[in-house]
Parts: sequence; structure tokens; C-alpha cells
Amino acid sequence: MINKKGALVLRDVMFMMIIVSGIFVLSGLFVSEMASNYENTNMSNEWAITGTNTIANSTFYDTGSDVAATGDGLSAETGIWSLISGTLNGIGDALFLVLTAPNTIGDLVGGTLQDAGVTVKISDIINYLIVTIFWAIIIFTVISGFLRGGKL
Amino acid sequence: MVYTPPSNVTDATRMVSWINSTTDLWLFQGIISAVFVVSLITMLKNQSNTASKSFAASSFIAMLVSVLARTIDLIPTWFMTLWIVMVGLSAVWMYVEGTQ
Repeated sequence: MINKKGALVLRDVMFMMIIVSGIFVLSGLFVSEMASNYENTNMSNEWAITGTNTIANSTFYDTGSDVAATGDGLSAETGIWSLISGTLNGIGDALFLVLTAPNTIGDLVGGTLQDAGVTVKISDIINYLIVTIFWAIIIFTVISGFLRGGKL
Repeated sequence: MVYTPPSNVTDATRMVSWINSTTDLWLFQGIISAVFVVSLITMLKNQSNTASKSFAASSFIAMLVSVLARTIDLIPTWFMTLWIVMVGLSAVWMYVEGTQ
């Protein structure tokens, strides 16, 4: 949930990304099951190549594998060095996903618009607009945090 | 504009399928959109429902119907994808609003 001041921070964008990609992945499962049960290969083939499906899948499973890598690092039994390096690697990967969360949401929206027939030129503009707006909000929130509530 | 005359229409299912193909798949796209609007308004009438909850529930219903309709080739894939995206957006809206 967004904080009491209503400021959007990177954590919220990350949660949004996970929620949206999780819903798309579960919807993909539903679509694939229906297509399989009723032998409609045309439906499953068309859905499989959509940007909504492919980007959501990669986002969801990348996040899962990074968290799993962190868990493996923590449970390493080959010495303290592998424990530390494995954990740091996993956390680094997760941090990278957090930092690219606004870009991932922009890609998801852009890919979905292209699926709906919008031209690449328009979808690219909307993609970059979303990314820049997210980053602007986040950066100004961070600056406001440093200024203890003051705004630029 | 000349429409394809109905052929092999022997029951209600084939008749609906013919109407749908004649209207370039817009019959069921209209029906699903109407289901969304009617369910949204019905849910909004209940004072205990917030706008985000009503939007999420009605878009979920429309998504279920759209996947069923796509399975029997009554709507194009992009229209089904649209409702899946709407469900995702409604979840984000609920998160932003902090709906319990």
C-alpha cells in the first residue's frame, strides 16, 4: 500500500510489476488450459506470441529465480565465502530487477499496445512516457526524503 | 455492403455464429462490453463496494466470458488480451487505493 503521504516509491512500482505479471501468468495458464481442453491451437498460438504473455512470463520467473538464488546462497554449506558471495549475487540480481521495474512496466504496456494493433512509433512513445514519469516521481520522492519533506 | 447469406444455419448456435461472423466478430465484443458495463454499474450501486473493487470484479467477469468466447472463435485474441490487461490494471488500482 502506498504510504500516507501518497508518494509513489520504487517499492510500490516493484509490487505493481509483480502483481501485474502474476495476473498475466495465471491468465496465460487459464488460456492455455482452455485452448488445450477444446483443442483450439490457433488460440494458444496467438496468445503465446503476445508481448503481454512473453514479457510477463520473463518478469515473473526472473524475479522468482533471483529470490531462489538468494535462498540458495543463504543455505550454502560450503563455507562462509560462498554464503556471502551467493547471497550478494542474488541480492544484486533482485536489486537490478527493482531498479528496472519502471522500465518493465513500460515494456509491458508497450507490448500490450502493440498486441492491440497500435503502431510501434506510438507504443514506443507511450512506453518512454511511462518510464520517464515513473522515474520522475521516484527521483523527486527521494529528493523530498533527503530534504525531510521539502520539495524542489 | 453485401453480407454473406446464411447457410447451414440449423440451430441457435449456428445462427449466433453466423451473425457474429457477418458483423466481423463485433457481436460478441459488444455483448462482453455490455456485460462489463452492466455488472460495473450494478456493483457500484452497492454502497459498500469501492470503485476499484467493482471495476476489478466486473473486469474479471468480462475476462472469464472473453476467454470462453475466444475458445469457440467468437472474438479475436486482442479483445481477450484487452480484458486480461484490464484485470491486471484493476489489481494495480486496488493496490494503489489500499483496498482491503
